Amino acid sequence: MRERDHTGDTDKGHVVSNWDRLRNTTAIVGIGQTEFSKASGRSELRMALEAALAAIEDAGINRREIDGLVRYGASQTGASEAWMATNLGLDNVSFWGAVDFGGSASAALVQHAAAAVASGMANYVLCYRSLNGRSGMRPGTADTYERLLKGADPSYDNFLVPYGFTAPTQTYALIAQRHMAEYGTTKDQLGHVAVGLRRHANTNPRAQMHERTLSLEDYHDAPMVSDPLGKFDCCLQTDGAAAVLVTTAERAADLVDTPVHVAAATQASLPDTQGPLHSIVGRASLTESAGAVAAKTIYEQAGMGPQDVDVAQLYDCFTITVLLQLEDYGFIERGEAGAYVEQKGFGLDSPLPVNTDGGNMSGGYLHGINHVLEGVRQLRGTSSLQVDDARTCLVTAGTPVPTSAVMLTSEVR
Amino acid sequence: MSTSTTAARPMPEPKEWDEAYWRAAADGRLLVQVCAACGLARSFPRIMCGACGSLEHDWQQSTGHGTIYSWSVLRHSFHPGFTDLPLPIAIVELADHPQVHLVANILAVDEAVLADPRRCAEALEIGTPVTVTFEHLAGGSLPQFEIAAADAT
Repeated sequence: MRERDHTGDTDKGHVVSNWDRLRNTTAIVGIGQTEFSKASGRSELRMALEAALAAIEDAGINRREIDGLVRYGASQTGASEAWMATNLGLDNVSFWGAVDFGGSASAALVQHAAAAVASGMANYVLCYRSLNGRSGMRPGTADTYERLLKGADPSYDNFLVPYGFTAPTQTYALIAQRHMAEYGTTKDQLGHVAVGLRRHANTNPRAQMHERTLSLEDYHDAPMVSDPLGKFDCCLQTDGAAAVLVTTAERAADLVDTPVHVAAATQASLPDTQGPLHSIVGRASLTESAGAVAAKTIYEQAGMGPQDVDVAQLYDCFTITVLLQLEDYGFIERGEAGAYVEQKGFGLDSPLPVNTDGGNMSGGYLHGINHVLEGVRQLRGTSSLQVDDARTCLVTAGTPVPTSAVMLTSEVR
Repeated sequence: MSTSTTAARPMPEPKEWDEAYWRAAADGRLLVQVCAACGLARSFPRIMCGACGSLEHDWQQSTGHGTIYSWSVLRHSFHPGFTDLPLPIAIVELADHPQVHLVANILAVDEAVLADPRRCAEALEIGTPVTVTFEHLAGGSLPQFEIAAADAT
């Protein structure tokens, strides 16, 4: 057996050897969501079913054709796949899956569904996320901590929780602090991320912050939460659900006008302390993330490069992760994201429109499945902030934990 | 949903792979777990060495000198057990085991400094020398750090 290289080889990515035969053989044919709000007034299970029914209607299939279910592993207490199958009347489910690591599951749901469909293990896989993330599990209470975060890093909790690591903010603050020290990134530049995403949300009627504007002045006036991150560096807390339906490209061609093909899909990790959240602070470098590994795989599988991406949905649990991923996925050099965002922005008039629905920061925080939905809308030409002639969309997931990404395309090359 | 208002600060619940660490902390000693076979030190104790595959480990005592690798100040409590805010948190790189990055609170920072993020940025600047100290609390003992006196390193 080959001895493991502990320093890791983050240059290689992980390209499936027969990906040439898998590229674009699966497609998203349905998306659905509930409203995003602060108080849904109903259960996570009911919202998940509403989102599923909307995705099923969007695809135009019989719900009983669904034979695969994939969900997030983290804090999915109210809408188990068993209850989903029971309520949807599914009598022949051949593929069940749950993907861990919190928000890093978003693109990975599509990856798992595509793997099941491409291999023939299932025909129609429903991916979903449902959360009463504001009314039910708002951070700040011992109860939420127990439900949402306790045991998240079971091997390392002892070294983190007693020191105050009881919400994701602390870890991202330490990362942001390093990015500032190593590259000269400024608080003002983080503010441009928050303000730009809010501007996008203001164009999106589905966004939780559709009617609330945010200026750079508002950003700076907001209370500091965990230096250097303030209130508006943090994503929203949202009640809502969303679902995505994946099948083969062949079936997709019969079902819908614009199948959104999966050109590439991967999960990725960095060596050492591969924990789901805070434990990554034990790594040698806080400004490196598994996103750079995912990027190599995605581009090679898709046969594309950063220059071929028309629009991107980058996971934005905090402002800093947008900067990190602009760098990870090769849109700019490492360390230059702050200045880039300040100068070029990420709106329709920028080199790369990002998070056109407002993202997790201002659209709604469903741990990133909303990014998959927005990617599909862009390629269908139905986004509220539509990029002209968008044919490729990169969707990334939570970082710096083990992450995931998919490349979606409306055009089979 | 009920909102808990009284909850204790969470404390370590020693595990198979870190019990010796917490016992030493109670005695005022900072330990680093290293692989018994290849000597690699680990930021967080664990069972197996990912580099060489050994299941055996040793503990080495650190001098407890280090520098701040990154820092933040907890100003909003996300758990009701943390009531004494603002609370500075840091990642400390140990001088005698630079590959070890430990999480700690930086104790004894002046309250007026803590209240002002700009002054925190000076007091807790990355690279600032720190020295280990031990906080003995009801539920256990925590290795912590303080800004080192000018001649301490």
